[in-house]
Amino acid sequence: MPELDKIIHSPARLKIMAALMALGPSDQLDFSTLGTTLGLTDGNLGAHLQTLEEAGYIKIEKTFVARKPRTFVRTTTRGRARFEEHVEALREICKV
Amino acid sequence: MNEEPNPPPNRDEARATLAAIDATHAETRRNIGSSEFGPNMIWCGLLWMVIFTYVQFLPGPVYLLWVLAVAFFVAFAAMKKLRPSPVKSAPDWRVGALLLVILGYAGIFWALLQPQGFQKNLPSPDVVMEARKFAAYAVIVSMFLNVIVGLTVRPSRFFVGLGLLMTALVLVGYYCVPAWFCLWMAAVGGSTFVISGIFIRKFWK
Repeated sequence: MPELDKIIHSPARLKIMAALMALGPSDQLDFSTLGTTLGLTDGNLGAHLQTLEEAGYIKIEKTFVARKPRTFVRTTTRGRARFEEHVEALREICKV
Repeated sequence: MNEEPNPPPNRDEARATLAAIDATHAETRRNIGSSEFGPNMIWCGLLWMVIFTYVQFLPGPVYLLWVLAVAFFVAFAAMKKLRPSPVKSAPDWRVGALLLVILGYAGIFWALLQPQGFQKNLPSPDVVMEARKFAAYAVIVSMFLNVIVGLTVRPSRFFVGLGLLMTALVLVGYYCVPAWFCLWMAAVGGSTFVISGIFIRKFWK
């Protein structure tokens, strides 16, 4: 029986994971694009990302592109599995 | 960040959450440009129809048309790459391996079909035959690329199905309606691309 994940269940983090799941497993999404897509401020997004990273659901990578600092985010295998289980649990609730 | 633990959702809330996930998914794809895939496929289908119709009625240096079409798409893809992408992909060794497989497949079909498109001063029936061979070759090889991508890089039954369907259509046209092969490909192949593009645009999330 799939279970809801308490960390992913928060609306903002659920959307962050949903956005990152739209990419391939090895693809990384730019921090500012993620913030714009979800309508979150940099501070708010940063805090939620930190929670997800501490849980091992995402990886954050800071790098330089054309001498400008850029931050990229991607899901981990564990994060993708937990998100899929969370979605499955939601589907089970819908069936009841 | 201290948050109150959320209570488990009821049926309506779960449904709303799933809808929010779908909406976020679609919005992300729109923002990173993946949603351009559908329209690109429609353009590809239209270009396909124009080239094949042209080749049916004016079979000349057909290889030149295919070279121009490929150059057009390569230039288009390169222009898009110049913009800083919001997505960074890890280098994938499979891409190199796939290129080798595709080159091998292209080589086998070159030997089987033997489209000698660069020969000049061929008698008229041979020119028509060459145009047919070259068109079949170009489609069979590019559709193999679809199948490979659909099986490995981006697992998708859609890509595999499209590749196999188009290859089958090429073979049916090549052997069953040889005199109207290019027109067959223009109508059937072009519309398959256009319908696929519309399908992707409407239903892919």
